[in-house]
Amino acid sequence: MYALASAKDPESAVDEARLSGLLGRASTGDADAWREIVRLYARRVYAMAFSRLHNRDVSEEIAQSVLATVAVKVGTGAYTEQGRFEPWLMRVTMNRIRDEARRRGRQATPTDPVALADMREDDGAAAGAGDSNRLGALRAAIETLPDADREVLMMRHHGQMGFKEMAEMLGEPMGTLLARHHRALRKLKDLLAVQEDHGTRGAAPGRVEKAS
Amino acid sequence: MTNSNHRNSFNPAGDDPAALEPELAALDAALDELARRDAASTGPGFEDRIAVAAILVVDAAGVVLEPGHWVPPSALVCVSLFLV
Repeated sequence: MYALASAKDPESAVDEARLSGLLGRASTGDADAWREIVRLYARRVYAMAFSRLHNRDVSEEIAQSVLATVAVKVGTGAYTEQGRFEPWLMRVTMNRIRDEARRRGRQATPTDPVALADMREDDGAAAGAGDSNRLGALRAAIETLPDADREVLMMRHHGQMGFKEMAEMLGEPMGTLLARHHRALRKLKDLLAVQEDHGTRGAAPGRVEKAS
Repeated sequence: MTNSNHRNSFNPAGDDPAALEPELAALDAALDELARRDAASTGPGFEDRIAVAAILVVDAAGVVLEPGHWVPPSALVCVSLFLV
């Protein structure tokens, strides 16, 4: 049995046969099957969007749009289940997030605390409101990472993807993604150390240079 | 939604928690915590709204919703109430 949800929440793990059955029922309009598919994937799609776009409404819009795309493809028979549903779903998700990020001009998200605070006010229900200092610093550091590093972290942690799925989705060797994730963690660690150092010296926290 | 504490960068199968050095493992766990918080930040009825939208799309054979167009949550709540 190939665990489609490998390396993720065991409670949400779904094996290929079960997922195939769900998709088959969903394609005929079985409401219970759709609810189950949504239960399995919608929060992961939402979390990935939220980690990048920092806005609840926009993230829910993307989750809805992605699942609507899935529904159209599955419901009209345009998607043929071949055991690659999850990488396909996540590819649709990543494309929608990238499109939205481009549309919103968020490629260069500010890391200055004042600018971030302004952004939160603009967004209304934005990320970070209830974060501890530690998580807030982590969130700010992630924002300074290059897109490729940020995306691998987003897929791994918010998307709960296994490296095998990420490799399938991106068409890259699994070793490359393992190395990229490791490198991204190291960069984050260094960025957080710089932030901490600035904090202990009394400099403005949260302002770190874009990592290379 | 929770992530296994046993996965790490060098072992996607998640059965060897010792493969990452401790500082990176702690960071890995912190990222999981951040992801859990973000996933839990949805408003009430989130999954119901998404499911109803998907069901509507299938029922309408892809006519009701085109990908990229959003149905406001308030409209979906109305539809949900109607369906119930």
